[in-house]
Amino acid sequence: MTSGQEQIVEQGVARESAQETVVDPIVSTRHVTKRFGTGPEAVVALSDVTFDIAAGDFVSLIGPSGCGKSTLLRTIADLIEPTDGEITVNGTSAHDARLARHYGMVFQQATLFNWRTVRRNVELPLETMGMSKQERGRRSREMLELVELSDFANKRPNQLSGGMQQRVSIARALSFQPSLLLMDEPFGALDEITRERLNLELLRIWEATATTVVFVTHSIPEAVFLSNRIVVMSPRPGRILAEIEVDLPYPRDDDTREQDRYFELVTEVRETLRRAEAG
Amino acid sequence: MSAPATAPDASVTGPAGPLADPRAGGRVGSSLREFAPPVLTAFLVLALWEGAVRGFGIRPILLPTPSSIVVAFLGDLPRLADAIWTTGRAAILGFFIGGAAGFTAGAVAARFTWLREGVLPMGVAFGAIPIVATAPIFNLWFSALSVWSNASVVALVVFFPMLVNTITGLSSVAPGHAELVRSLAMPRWSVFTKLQVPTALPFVFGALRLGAALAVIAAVVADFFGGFRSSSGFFIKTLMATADYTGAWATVLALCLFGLTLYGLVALAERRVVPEQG
Repeated sequence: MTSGQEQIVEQGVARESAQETVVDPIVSTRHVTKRFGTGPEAVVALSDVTFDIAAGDFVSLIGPSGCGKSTLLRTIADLIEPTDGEITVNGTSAHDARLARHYGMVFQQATLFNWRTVRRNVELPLETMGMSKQERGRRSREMLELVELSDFANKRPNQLSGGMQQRVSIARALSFQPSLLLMDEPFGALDEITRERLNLELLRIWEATATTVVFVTHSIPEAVFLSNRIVVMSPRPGRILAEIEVDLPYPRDDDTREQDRYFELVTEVRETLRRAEAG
Repeated sequence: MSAPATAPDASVTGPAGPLADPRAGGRVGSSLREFAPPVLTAFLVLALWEGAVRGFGIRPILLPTPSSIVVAFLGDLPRLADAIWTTGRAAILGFFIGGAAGFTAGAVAARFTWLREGVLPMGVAFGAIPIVATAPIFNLWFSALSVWSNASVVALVVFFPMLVNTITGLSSVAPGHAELVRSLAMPRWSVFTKLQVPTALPFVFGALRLGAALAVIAAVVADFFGGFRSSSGFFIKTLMATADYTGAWATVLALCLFGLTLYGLVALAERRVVPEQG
């Protein structure tokens, strides 16, 4: 575990320096607008969204259903093209960033291939990148260790629980060590207990891998527990209402959820969302 | 293809042999439960048949008893085997050619949206017309004494279901999987081999199972339009002409067994190739 500890130390140093000096953001959106359809029936999913995400951040996009938070994540991932505006990821366009595999993505469904074993699911991106079999094996072993599923390497995804499947999907997204992890309500389909356990695990992984995370959720406690910054969005048209800094110290654990500051922040996010509905 | 080592005890499963479920292997109790109903039903039907023919005094020219058919079958094995081989090789040849051509054409059509939109309804329409009626035409095109004439009829019958199912299968990738491979910037060929083909496999095997049944029908129908004197279609015609009706029924039985074997082999291959879907 010494290498893991070293990584954490490096990560900590990187995060401090990121706060002190002005660095290029890893994700930046400028006046991003997305309309679905044309004419009077057009739906404005995103309206003039401008924000930056710094390297090493854990940013949550939160808002009610239909506020465009998933659409925003998909424009960053170049899975949806914005109608207007500009997005840069790692200094290049979102399109080039996708082709260069600058990000890994985790979806609400685990989207695993049931005809492959867990290990070969994790190796899927590595195969695509033309990595040698030996190197793929090494990486997938490492990743399954990271998500604590080493014993399940040769099982089929449908033999695993929903929470385990989602951990495999995280291992797959991180297998090629992208600098950015995009997560679209990854724990939304899981029960509360599993979700809280995976939240803890995700923070541990984030701290061990120096990855920037953009996390879409509609759970306020989840957003507060995980993020160092929360972007609150309003529906129709989807736009940014507020950005809330979460000043709870890392590493966070189960006790974090019982701190007064945690509850204050949960309340702050909730009231911001409520004001948007009233207004 | 040989039966997997875990195949259930043949004495328990009896005639269902090639269709046996290898996953039930080793657990005689569950295979008994699984195979007892169809086997018992078959015996019941045969017993009723035998009883009705004897009881009502139905003449053998109309309907021989099952027992006499089996006796005729066992008594004429060498000639029947010859007839089945002549018809069967056209069926098998056509099955593979039609299957491979249907898959290839389907893969090409699925690649281009406009082609898929055009080909899919056409494939469904062609699949619905009685293609075995083309048998005399193929006999004109090819030498009547070549296996290719009858194999072409079979290939054409197998082709269209395979074409339709391949297009449908390759196009039924889950939206989540489509987004995943796009997020990974996976090249088109990798998407085809790693995602589309595995997704399409259950559809492809559906077409193969249907094709196995259709292939035998088409091959026999093609026999009736000419071809080899040793073919089972010709054999049935000859037996009917000489009033050997029980012999004709025995040939039908032989064709049934051949069809079931072909179907069973496809089902077995499917079990091996297609993993259980969750």
